Amino acid sequence: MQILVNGIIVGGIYALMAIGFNLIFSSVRFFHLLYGIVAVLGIYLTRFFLLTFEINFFVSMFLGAAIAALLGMAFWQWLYKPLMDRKASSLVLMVVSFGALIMVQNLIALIWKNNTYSISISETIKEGYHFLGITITFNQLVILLTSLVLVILLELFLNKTKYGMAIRAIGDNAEMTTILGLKTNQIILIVFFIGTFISSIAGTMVALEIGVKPTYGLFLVLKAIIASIIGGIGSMRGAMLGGLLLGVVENIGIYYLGGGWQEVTAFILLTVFLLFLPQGMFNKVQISN
Amino acid sequence: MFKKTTLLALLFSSLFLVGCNLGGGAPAGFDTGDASDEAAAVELPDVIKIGYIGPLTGNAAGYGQDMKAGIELYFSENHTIGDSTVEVIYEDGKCNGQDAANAAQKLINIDKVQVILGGQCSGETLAAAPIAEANKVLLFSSLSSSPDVTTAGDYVFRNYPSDEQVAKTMVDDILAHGYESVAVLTEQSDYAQAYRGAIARHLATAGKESVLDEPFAADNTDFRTLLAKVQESGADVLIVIPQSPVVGAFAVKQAAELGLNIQIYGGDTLPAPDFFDTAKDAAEGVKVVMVAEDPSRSGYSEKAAELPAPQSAAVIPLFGYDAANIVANGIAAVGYDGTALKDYLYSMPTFKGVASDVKFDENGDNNVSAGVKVAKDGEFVFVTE
Repeated sequence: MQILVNGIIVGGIYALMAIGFNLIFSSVRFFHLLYGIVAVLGIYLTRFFLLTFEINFFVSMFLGAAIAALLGMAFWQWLYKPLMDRKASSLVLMVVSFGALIMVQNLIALIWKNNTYSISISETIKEGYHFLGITITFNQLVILLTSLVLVILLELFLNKTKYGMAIRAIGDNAEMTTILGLKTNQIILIVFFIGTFISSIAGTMVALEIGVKPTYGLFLVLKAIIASIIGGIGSMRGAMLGGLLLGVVENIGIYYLGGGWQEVTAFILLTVFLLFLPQGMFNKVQISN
Repeated sequence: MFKKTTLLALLFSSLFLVGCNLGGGAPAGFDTGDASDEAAAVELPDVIKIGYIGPLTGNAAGYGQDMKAGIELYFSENHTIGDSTVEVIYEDGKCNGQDAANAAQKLINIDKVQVILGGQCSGETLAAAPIAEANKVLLFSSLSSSPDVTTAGDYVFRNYPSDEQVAKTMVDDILAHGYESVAVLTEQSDYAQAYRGAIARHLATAGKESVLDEPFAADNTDFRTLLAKVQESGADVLIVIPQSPVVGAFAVKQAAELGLNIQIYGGDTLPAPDFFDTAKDAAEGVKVVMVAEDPSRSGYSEKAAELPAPQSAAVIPLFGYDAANIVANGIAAVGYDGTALKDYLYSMPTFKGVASDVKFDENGDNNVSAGVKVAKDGEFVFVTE
């Protein structure tokens, strides 16, 4: 039971990462690999605000995520958009994105070193809450609540606001929305802001549990991609379920196979889905698209 | 004419004998003179290049930087060996075999060094050892503790204790405190896996077996599920052997959050500010078994005060200081040659270093005792009971 709870909580973070990733993917239709490292940058900024200005954890997290989100917009405007205007293929954009990921990763290592750092909400380590034979720590409760609040807010934004509906429209048919007179670039900028903001919050939740180091960028984006493919790329609900399934399966793998098998389990799950259910659980966009 | 030649011959002979006398005397660290005095007898290059391999970046950088500081301190006090200047070339082994092997190749084939101080992580030393061995270059580690280093080669030395001995001290302490069920979590690294083997051997000698023995991925910081297994195993003591302090700190922190209130033991990788920054108050009471430092040794406190604030245990850079001193003495006594230095190290009398006495056995190991420390108020202190 404890393993299931651990898996659901880790899966909740993966789900958040996958939701942000899917939101961006639905609008631009290429693998934005930079996504992971911008999330990591958000975590480092959160830690910077926490330690330098001793600001409240949640305010620091919000500031770090907001700056990372602005940077996400900048990457769209000045890196991807010029390439897309020149009709660059998805493959070219993905390669450019990977190159930029490595560059940002090295910049982070240069500024903050290559070490693993922890982030804490409080200065003391609190014992978790025990009930029904399971233990949930304070950090895990924060992760659960933050994930829930973000998902509900995003769902409301996408379904109840004008911009949210425009984002969904772009995801369904980008060319048609341009013809209908929607300002596509403005909406994509909003998508990059929201997606990156969510990724940074999710990253900070990860850091609460396992710390942060510059190489986590690739780790985070890989988890987001795996969860998205499992859930069905382009689908928000799929991303949510994919993330949860990934977290649970990884933890079952650790329990039965050992700690060294965590990553192997994740990729076995991905391989199984690619072989037997390549469109994922909630298909929206074919990967080949 | 004959007389003149005889006189000149006598003069040169006497000068030669005087030179021999200087060269054959006891070198620095053996109570007389310093390395530069002894170098008169041997021919040395203008610049003596000494290699260094250790983790200078990453989670284990604390020890690597500390070791570097110890070596730098020695050579800042002793700029020359004879008339030769000393240049230490620092390479980042990143605490892994691949980077250490690349660094060893570079130091040996490009910089043409005859001696390398390092590696520091056992994985670094074990990867660099065959390269040093094949090129007859002395490899002198001051921190690698894996029992496998003992048989890593004829040119491989260390002035730090082997984990075979450290693990015995740990198991003895566990049994002395009446713990019955031992759980072991070890990182997938050369150091930790060799340590794991040594723990299993010493438990077996005592007629015991661990109730849980799990390796975890390198640099892993998510222990929740593994700790749940520890809890289920009914262990009353947990041994965690990570490669870096922060990894161990996450295990300790998450154990406290899970309510796993059992005694935790760790290796010499835990004592560092990084450990306490992450584990916070959960660190209190954690025990580590490591080299038994003795601050009352001659020179210990003085040298420790001259060093920058340590990022690992305070004694670590002093082992580096001693290694630099021994190597400098060796070069002064027998010249800048890996094989001559190797022979010198095997036969040298006991060296009275600031960190420990050093006398190498036939495997290039130095017999230094280990002690048990406990975390108290943000630092590890020796157990006095």
